[in-house]
Amino acid sequence: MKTKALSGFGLGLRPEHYLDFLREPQRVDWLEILTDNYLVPGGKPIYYLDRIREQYPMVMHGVAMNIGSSDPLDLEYIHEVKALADRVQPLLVSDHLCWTGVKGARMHDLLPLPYTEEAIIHVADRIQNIQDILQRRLVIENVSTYLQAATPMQEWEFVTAIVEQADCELLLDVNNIYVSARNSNFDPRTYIDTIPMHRVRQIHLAGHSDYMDHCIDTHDQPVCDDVWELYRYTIERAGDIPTMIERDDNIPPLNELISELDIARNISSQALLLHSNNLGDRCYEAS
Amino acid sequence: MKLREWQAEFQNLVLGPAVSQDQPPEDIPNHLDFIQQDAIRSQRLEIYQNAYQQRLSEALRSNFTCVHELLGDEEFYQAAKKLILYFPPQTASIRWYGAHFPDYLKNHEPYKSCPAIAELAQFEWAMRHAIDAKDAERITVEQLEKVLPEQWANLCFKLHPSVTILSLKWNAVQVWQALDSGLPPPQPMEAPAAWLIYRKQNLMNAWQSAEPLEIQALEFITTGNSFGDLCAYLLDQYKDSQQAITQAAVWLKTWTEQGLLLKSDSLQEGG
Ligand SMILES: [Fe+2]
Repeated sequence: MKTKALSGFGLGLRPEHYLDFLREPQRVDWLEILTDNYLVPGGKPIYYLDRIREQYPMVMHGVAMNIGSSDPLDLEYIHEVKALADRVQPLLVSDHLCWTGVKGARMHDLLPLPYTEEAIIHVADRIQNIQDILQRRLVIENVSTYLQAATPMQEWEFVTAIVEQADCELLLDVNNIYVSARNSNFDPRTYIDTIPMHRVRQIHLAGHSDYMDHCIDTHDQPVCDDVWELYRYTIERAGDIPTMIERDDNIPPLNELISELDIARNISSQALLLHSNNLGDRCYEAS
Repeated sequence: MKLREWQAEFQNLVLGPAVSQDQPPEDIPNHLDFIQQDAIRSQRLEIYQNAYQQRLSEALRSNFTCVHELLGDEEFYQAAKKLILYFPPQTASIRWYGAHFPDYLKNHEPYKSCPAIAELAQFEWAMRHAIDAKDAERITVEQLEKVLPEQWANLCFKLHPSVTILSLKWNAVQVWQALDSGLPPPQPMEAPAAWLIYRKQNLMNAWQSAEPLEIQALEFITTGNSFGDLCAYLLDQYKDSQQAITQAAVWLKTWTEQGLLLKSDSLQEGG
């Protein structure tokens, strides 16, 4: 079982590609599994998970911790995630900065939080509880939003306050920043410029559906040019960050996704040259 | 507004009456103080409403592919919509959404008057269960062969966790087989049979019909009764002790070959 620090370029593991990964080595440095798909008693999913884990480092990505909810934490669920993490030994465990239901409802959707002081304190406190159970830092991902409550705070200030207060890490979904920026009319670059980059452990890239006056985060098509540009901007500023492409629907053959991952590799290596130059400039200015 | 109250209100909006962009904006209250105004606000709320319906319908569609095939898109999504209303999801994982679908189809019109539909759903849910049910070590024919004569009477067994036993009154499995191979399904008709659905050693699913007495025997021996008890139970049916013992032994071997039985505590390693 390979366990080293997360680096390079990954893909989300999907059942459609199980046999490709087992048949021969693929040009993918690591795989992200959807935690919830493996919280099952046994059988096929667990069999393939174990086999593929022998070949690839993995990270775990879940959707149901309900981190932002005002319901009590679902401790049983979090312990199940912990048990799966003990089996998989992932390089990191992530879920979303959102809520998925209140008053016992399970909406199975990533719902937006109001950006308030009350929410910051509540969510940061819950993340700390979750981290205590998982016995590791939690990595939280920014979600796409379609409605935003009017508060004096912006999303990037809210995210920054929570990760600082909870002392957790970030999974930056560049596509989600772009989608939310389009839907709430802000400059996505301000977001990238503001959040604490030293806490970003992983980047998600994905495709969305563009309806001109709004975007929907559908994960069913290739990454678009605007998102590639925002990715370039991110790496130029932040340096090397493990990056992957998420595809959840309309899933193409594995080699198509690997070719798309090559675009990320190229953009990242170009952006890293500029990043080193930036660093060089700063050193020069400082001397 | 407190976070809890805000979330409860937001959730009510998503679960509430469907909005549309043609609706007058004042119909979508803005007590949650969204920055999105009027028509945009209803358009965005509609995105959340659709996402909720679609994700759950999609989960149902993938668990009940042949029911979907049989009913067609339109009718299936109507059924899904009603199920979501009657049985909103209660588990953290969406994997389990659909457990109530067979019951819903059984008890509600227009599906109720064609019971084969509910039975088809029951069969598909059992197949879904077989895929990721708990793993457990199965007893092998080699292990049975090593059992000493004096141990036989006390042997006990358990069912593999992937096994579902279904008693169906209709030809739902034949309908499933046709739909699953892309053929037109036969007309629903009464065809009472008991079915075993389970996961084989090679992780593939299997399904087969069995005689009522065989199913009774299987249920009997996997609910705390020993092999000796089974022979006595069959003696009531056959009135001939040799025939009862032979039948019990034949079935035990078949079930073992099919991988339906778990190793029992009474069966000692190399015994
Ligand atoms: Fe993401």
